[in-house]
Amino acid sequence: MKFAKKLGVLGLAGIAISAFSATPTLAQSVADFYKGKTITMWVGYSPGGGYDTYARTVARYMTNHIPGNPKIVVKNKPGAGSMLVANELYNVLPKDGTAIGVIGRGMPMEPLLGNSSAKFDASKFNWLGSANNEVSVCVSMKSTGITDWKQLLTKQMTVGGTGAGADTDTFPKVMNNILGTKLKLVTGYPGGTDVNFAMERGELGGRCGYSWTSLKSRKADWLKEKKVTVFLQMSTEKHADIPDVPFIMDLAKNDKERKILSFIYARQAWGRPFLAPPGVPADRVNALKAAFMATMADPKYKKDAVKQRLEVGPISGDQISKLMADLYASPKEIIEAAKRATNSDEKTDVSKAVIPTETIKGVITKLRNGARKVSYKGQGRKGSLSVSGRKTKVSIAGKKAKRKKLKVGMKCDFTFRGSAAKKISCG
Amino acid sequence: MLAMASKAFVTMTDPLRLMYLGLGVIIGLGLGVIPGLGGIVGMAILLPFTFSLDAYSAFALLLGMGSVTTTSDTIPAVLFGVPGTTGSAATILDGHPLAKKGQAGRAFGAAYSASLIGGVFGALLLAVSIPILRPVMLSIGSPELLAFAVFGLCMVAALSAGAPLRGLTVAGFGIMIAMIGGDPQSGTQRWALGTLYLYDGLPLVPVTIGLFALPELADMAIQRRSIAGDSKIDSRSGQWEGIKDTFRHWWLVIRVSWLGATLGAVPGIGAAVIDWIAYGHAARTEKGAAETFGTGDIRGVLASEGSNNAKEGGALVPTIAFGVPGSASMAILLGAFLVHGLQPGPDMLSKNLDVTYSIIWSVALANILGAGICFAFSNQFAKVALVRQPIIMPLILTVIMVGAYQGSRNWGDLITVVLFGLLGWFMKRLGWPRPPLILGFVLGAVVERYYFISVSRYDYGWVTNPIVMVLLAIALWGFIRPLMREAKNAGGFTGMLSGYSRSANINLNTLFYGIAFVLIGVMLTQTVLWKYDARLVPQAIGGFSFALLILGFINHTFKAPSKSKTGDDAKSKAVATLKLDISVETQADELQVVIKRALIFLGWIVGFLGGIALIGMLPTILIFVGSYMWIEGRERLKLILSVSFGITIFSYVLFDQMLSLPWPRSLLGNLYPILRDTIPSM
Repeated sequence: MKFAKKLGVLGLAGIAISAFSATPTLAQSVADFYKGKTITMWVGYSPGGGYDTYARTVARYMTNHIPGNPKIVVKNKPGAGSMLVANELYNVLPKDGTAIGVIGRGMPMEPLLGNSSAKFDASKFNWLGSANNEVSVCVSMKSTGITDWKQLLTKQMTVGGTGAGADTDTFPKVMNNILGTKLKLVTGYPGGTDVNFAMERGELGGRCGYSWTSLKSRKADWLKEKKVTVFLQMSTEKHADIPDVPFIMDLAKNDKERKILSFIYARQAWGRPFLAPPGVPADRVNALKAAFMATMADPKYKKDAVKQRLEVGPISGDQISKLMADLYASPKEIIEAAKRATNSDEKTDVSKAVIPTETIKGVITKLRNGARKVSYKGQGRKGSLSVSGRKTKVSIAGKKAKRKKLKVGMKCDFTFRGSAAKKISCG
Repeated sequence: MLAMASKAFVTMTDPLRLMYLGLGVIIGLGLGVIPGLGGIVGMAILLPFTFSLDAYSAFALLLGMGSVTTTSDTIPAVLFGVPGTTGSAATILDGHPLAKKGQAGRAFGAAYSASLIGGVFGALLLAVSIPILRPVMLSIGSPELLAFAVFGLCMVAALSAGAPLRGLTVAGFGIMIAMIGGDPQSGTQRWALGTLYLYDGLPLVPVTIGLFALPELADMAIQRRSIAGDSKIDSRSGQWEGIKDTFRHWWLVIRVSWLGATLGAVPGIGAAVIDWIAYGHAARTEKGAAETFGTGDIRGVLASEGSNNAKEGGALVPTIAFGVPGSASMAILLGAFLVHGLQPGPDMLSKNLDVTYSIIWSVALANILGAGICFAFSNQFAKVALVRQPIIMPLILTVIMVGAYQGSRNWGDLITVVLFGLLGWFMKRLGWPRPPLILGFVLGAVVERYYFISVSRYDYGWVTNPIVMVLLAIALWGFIRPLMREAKNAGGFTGMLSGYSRSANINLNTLFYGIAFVLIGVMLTQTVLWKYDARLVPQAIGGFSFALLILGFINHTFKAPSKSKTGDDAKSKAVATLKLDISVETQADELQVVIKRALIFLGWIVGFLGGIALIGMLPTILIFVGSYMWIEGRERLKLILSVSFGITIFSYVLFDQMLSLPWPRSLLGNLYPILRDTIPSM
């Protein structure tokens, strides 16, 4: 009984305390609030990695730029590629401005791509800014002889991956599905350094999905000794260092492809995104955003970052919010197409979705396998189409005909989607 | 080269640099003693402090710390049967029985001197192999890494002597739980039970602690005695004896050093298995080891400790030569290279050779210094073995629970440690070898990974690669030979297949078999819907384990118990000495006591977890330690207060203030966030 009574008193006291603590927020200035407080910066990865290094460096200097100079403590809570921290920031952690965090750049896309474990709406987070914008590149080893991405349309090259869903796995698939390259993905390497090592000993021909800054700082000897060729850059904006390297956005064949690519590579803009939960009072959010950008401009931060080979190329929180709003407003068909382009192992599946139906006037140059494969030439293009007995409408001189009636040299209109013939109507 | 080495030595003997080295060593020793903390945590914390230092001092500090965690991790392993880092789990098997006999001093002496030799040997190997480092490493491709992992995995046969069917089943189960989480090939979430905690797989730390440390504590609680019981402690004299042991078995120490350094250089073969591989090697090659290993044979301690210190030098090889981290802490060390403008790769072996040599010297000197400090203080440590159980128990339990929570700082860690603790305790009591589980757990994922890479890159041509063939042949030999010996012990294959009787042997083990059948069966059925790449290995291994389980069950149930007990694992002996063979009727009374006490102990642990959920970790520690000492030991109030407040303040300062550990959120803290601001960890 006595214990229960005590517990009751404790409970009442607790309610009283919480009621008391809830009221004064209105009149409180940002500096008053943060004075003597500790901000926890949650990192969704283990200590020592890229995101963690950025977080710790930012935390060291950001405290000087927040009114009231709160202490900033970095806490690591690794799990599910930072999804754990993203979920907690959105749902559990305090929304008073004492909890901020860093998550993976791909994380905001997860809810859009239909991952039901991602319990947040990234467009509702308060984005504080990004420490840099990442440009990802494709490299080939000298021994492969590949110096231009176009060579990959006909020639195969082996690239290494670090596991399903990683940039190193996603980006080659996007290239195969959209540009039509013939990259062969060997995946499962424990990390990027292992992929590099496998390239060095000739197990792999190259790597697609390699942060340019990381290549520049960690493998400077490769660039200096021209051991590798950087043949493609992937992001939504080109990197100033490598103006001559082809840019994937320029390679889109039509507007839809461009939209798909900008959906996929949007994440590169917010390379190392810092964020606060939704619902933090606006004045504190503004103070944190301003403090983040002031940190980025702080000479001491810059010096420290340069020393650690971290790129300084900040993006403001407002910019990220705008990009994120655009991303979340993407039409469903673009999202679906992007999903296929990043996941599908079969090129044809995606080309159906991405490449529109085309019609070309030309001549049949070759027939194989009982006209199941038809090669054509015309309008400066040539190619081969698969002819289905059921789905492809074949007509000769305006009359419906069997595919076997097709002959080499016939002049026809070829209507096709990807490599599948829809209609062949010949002279 | 020699000139360069001596130049680097002169650089290193600069007093300030030696001071940094010493500081690193002290921090490293401290981290090694506390389960769950180790070189990785140390590297991450110390790295920012090295920015303002010159490269030599920076490496002195970082490697001073990183090299000696495996020297001091012996202390809890020997005293409490709790591995200080994942690298000393094998030390427990013989080190802890020695402490129970009152020979903790001897175990320490042997362990430190073996650590010292191993550590220096590892550094030496790195030093002499510099000219051939790059060409040798370049010949190690994914197929070779696969072969190395298979080689390690085949050690399970040697580690399950006396119970081969069970050992292999356990190894299979270890591989299966290594498959938990996202599959690298297809991204399928395997056995993740819909929780984000398992997305990246089970963390190693809580699994190791649960499997080895908790059962030891449970038995300590059940036996209700201090670690050394009534025996005297052999402090100084024992240490000398231990050092003499090391030199008596110098050839073994050299062999395991070589093994540790070589395996350390192979990325993916972590500290967690190197000690077991060395232990298995010793168990197989040392005379009479089969009879005495696991009962306090000093050679078991030497094998494990010599190898785990040698690994650090080995792990530096791929890091320096190629920028491929040989271990998790090396990945962080790579950051230090960059900060100091050094590029891992050919430059480190030519232009920056002096830095490389200073790194080697740092490792060697740190090992000498670390062993020296341990020697000086172990006299005091060894006396801990005499402290009364009600005082020592709650303290260790607290430290290992917080240590397990370091795995991924998630509630899941606490549940994992308790589940594996239960599993480990039953395995220990019922005569199922535990080491194969760890081997399977660590190497299973590596084997799967490099199998797919090898096949997708080379089809099946890689099998004919000479290095691969040699390694696989050695692995196969290492796998088959212990099994042949088992077969011979059992009277050949005909003997193995005979001796069945009609009367079924039903006991607690039958229940254990039943649970195993259900568990592996359910896991197997879940694989059906996975993509081919995701289910290939789990199904193959799961099916294999299931088949072995059936065989083992038939053997257990219908075969008369064999007379010869040749377990190199502690449990078969433990079963023998504790007379807990349940099939013997007369032990029923004792069994009841054991069960009762075990349940009480489980109650304490559940209470601990409940406390964390309700009022937070630090308040729980305070209340738990105090009430355990009061209820179990009726200690004096003054002692209770000082011990319980002492450990709480220690945990607060170390984990909250220094390591910024994100505490699990408590119910009370959720209800009244204001409490969380005033009382840490609520």
